[in-house]
Amino acid sequence: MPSDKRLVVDIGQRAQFLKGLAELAMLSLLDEGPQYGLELLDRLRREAGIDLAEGTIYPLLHRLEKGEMTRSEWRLDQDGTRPRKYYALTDRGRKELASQLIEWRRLSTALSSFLKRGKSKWVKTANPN
Amino acid sequence: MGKDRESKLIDPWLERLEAALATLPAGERDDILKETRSHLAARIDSGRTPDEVLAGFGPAEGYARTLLLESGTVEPARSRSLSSSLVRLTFRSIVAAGAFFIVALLAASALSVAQTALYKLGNPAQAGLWRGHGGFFIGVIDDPHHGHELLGKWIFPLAVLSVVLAWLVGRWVVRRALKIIARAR
Repeated sequence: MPSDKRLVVDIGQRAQFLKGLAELAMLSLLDEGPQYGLELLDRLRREAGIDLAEGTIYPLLHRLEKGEMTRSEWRLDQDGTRPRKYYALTDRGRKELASQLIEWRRLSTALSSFLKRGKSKWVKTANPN
Repeated sequence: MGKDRESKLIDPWLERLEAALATLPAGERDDILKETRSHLAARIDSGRTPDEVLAGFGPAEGYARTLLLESGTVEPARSRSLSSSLVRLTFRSIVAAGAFFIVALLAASALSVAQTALYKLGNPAQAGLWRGHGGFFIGVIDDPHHGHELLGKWIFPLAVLSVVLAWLVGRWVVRRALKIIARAR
């Protein structure tokens, strides 16, 4: 049973890990075209399986905007009743996406190979003959 | 659920958020509030209760802190190495000092021209842009025979132009410096 302190560290690390993944997924969604926060949040949950808390999306979006990876503009929704802040990728954002994709693929391949190595060892141990 | 009850639940939360974001520039703060209100309203329209939606954001103060941290307005509560902190602080200090120097210089120049123009209203013969033995200077001269005044009444539009230019350039310099400092965080 982990101690409370250990549990907090694990939750914090998981949150950081999710935040990194969410940023990559969000940049990838924005690469399709301008979208607003709620739309991005729902698509991240539905399509990428990243279950971000409701209030997590805007701090991430604002950080990307501060870093000049996105720019935003207000538009009315399809009904013309509700204002929506649409975020779009900038050139810097596209470069960041490309760089994060390369890093993700490198890490994913390396980790996948590492885990396969572990699995073959377990199989050997389970079936010594 | 009635709109009044929704407002009663959401408005106090948004007011607390607004108060917690007081350190942000008004435009940026209003933008966040407008965006959050739009998000909350859309969720409630889709059938969620205000309590459920607000629970996803957590306490207004905590949400504000996350926004401020991500936007680089406040420092995260994590330790940094002394050397990297020092380098960052020095860089930020140089940028801030440089910006302050430029703004002070612009303000002093504009003020000097404006003050001379004001003085010229009462003493037209002694104030202006002078050419004398020591070169050019703008201001008030004791004896007008020691120099030749070059601007005449043109000092008034020049004073207005100086103040406007100093304001615009000064504002640009401050914004640019804040941006550079924010990036260095």
